[in-house]
Amino acid sequence: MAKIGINQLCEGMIVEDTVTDLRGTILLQKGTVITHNGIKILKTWGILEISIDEQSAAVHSISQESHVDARIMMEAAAKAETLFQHADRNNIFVKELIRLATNRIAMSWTEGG
Amino acid sequence: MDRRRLNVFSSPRDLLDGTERLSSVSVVHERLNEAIFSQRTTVGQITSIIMQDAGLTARLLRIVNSAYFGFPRKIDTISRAVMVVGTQQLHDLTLATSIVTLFRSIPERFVSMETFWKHSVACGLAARVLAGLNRESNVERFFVAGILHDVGRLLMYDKIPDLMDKVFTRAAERPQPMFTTEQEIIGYDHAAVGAALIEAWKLPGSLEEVVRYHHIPRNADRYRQEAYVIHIADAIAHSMQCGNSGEFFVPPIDEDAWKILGLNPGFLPQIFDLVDRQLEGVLNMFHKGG
Repeated sequence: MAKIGINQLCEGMIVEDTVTDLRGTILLQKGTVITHNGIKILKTWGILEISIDEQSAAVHSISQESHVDARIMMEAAAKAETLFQHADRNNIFVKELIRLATNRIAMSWTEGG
Repeated sequence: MDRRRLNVFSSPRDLLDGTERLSSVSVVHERLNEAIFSQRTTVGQITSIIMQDAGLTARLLRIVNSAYFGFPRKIDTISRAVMVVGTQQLHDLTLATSIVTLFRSIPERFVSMETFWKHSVACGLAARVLAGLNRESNVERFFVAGILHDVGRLLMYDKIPDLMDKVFTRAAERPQPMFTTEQEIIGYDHAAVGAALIEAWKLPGSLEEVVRYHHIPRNADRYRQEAYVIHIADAIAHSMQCGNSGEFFVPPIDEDAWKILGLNPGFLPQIFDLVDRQLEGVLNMFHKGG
């Protein structure tokens, strides 16, 4: 379990332990996916740090800072673009899917040698 | 006109004729269904229906003891599984595992059974997560819908392999989704065949509608929200490149789907992660010991 300061929290991380205010009122349930709104709630109630599911924190940092060779990353991005040729590539959700698919392709090529 | 001359099976229903696989699902499903919806049925009676099938008993125990449920203690009897998981959920999982065992082989030149079910299970797992985010009741039925969304293709590979060869050839030449190519060459697509199969199996109408409209969810009527869940779960499984059922690209995504499901792009990495964590375990459970 990783305790993370409120300023290091990112959208998409998963809450490990239910967060309450001083009186015990639940602010964020265990298992909640952190959103912009969730971070705002925590800041409003003066919460300084919360427990985050380790794997969700790890996955987040990999996708944020994957140190894959830039050339491999570009080739992976080209493959992902082909994969999404029938989808609206300007849609923000599709963009996120393309980003994740690109990372997966790049990682599989890197791991595969 | 041309396609009608090519295809002796002019409707999805024609494709089902003489398919002996149809009856076995109905037997398992109907007996359990009767038991579950009868007010007087006890846990013991449901347990004994399941335990008449040794393969099913073993598969269900593997499922309830897997990361899919993540129970802290080992569940070693079906009666305990019925009590902990719930009868409806167990029924839905029974259905999924029974159908997976029906199709054991298809011509390998299309896809292997392993890659086919990998795509289907990935879609089912993503659908289950999406349904959970939407606070849907009984998320297992979304898992089952995901497992079955492309099941029509299995019957097409089996019954009309020559036409499916033509579909694959044209799909490689034209930049369009596979289901459109199926409609052009065969006159209907795998979603219509899957819906006909589900109808013949006498499974719930919600499943039939969700499978029929998983590519065009806005055309669904009573179960539109459910159809949108499977639509997006399918796109996620394709994006993850987990297995394949024949389509090599991410199918077109309905622009309203994200809003209708109340999704945030920030959820997507976690959905990928959850599917990754459960996928291999669930696949093993489905295949080991048939």
